[in-house]
Amino acid sequence: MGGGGDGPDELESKGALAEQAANALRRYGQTFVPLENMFIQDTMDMFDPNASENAMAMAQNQTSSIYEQGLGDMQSAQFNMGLDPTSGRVKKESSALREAQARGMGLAGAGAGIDYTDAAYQGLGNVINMGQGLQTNAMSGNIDRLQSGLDRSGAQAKSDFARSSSLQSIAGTGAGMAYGSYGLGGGG
Amino acid sequence: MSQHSMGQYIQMLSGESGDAVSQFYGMGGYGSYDPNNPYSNIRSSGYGDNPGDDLYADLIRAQTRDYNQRFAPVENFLAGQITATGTKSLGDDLARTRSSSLGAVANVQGQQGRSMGRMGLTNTSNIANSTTAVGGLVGGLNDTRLRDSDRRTAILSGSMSGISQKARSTGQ
Repeated sequence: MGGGGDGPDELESKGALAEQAANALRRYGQTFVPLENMFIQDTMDMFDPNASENAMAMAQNQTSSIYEQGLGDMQSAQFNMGLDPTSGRVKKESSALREAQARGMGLAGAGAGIDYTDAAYQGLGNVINMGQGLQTNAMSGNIDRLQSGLDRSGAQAKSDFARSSSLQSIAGTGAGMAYGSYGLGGGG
Repeated sequence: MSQHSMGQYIQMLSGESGDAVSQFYGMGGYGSYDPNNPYSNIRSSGYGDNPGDDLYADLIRAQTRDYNQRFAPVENFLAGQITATGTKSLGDDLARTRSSSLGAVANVQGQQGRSMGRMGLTNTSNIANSTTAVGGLVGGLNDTRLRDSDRRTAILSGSMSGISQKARSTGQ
């Protein structure tokens, strides 16, 4: 129908759509690529062997404080019961809780380190999602991971303190209220 | 074709095509990739009879190059982390678990010593040799290995990244 040697001209709308896409990519390049690069670099930095030190130390400190409160209550209970600090019972009970504290702190720190490594891999997964143009999964941050670690530490501490006869003897007394106040003595 | 006329010819091509030709002939310097803004070389004018098609083609080439430059290395890194039993992070994780457990023992040993010292007593206990501490260390190391094995499964099966499934479906 058209005749002539030249083919049909390209639709003008096609050029406009291509220009629109080009504009979107230019804006993406200017604004979001540097941010993506920052995230990629941060994620790769998480694989540094020392990157999780802070998270691990924080988990250990928080776990230690859970046990410190219980140990303080136990000492008060022992004094109130008139127990001799040099007696075998006091030493044994105190040592048992200190050992439990060491185990709890060690495992809490180790758990935080492993959670951090998992987060690094999760970050890599998110970078790959970005590259594929897929929606990125939400990531939990340091605080979320710390809290779940502390929940585990708290549950373990509750079980450790339940074995302390001095603490058991003050449950239900005035001092027992303090024992319950940090969530270790109560049900649930 | 002389180097000069080759340069002129490349200048006539679209940004991405010009870059590809330039790279092929080892000339370099034309439309080189900028990782901070990989789309800065896209141009709107200077195309031939089908500017929309040509521009679209340039956009697809730019996206592919950006993917190859910024994201493919990350995919390769993740794939390279997978081992027969877990990931390459296992060694570092085990070292951290060991250091955390032993560090905690030393820390608590010191706390116990100071606590007893306040009552004028000498601390004779050795937490490091206690069954609880040693059991905690061994349990922690075993847990670390299990977590690493789980991580490998998560990477391969897709719950953590689905690297192979996504690589297969690459199509932007």
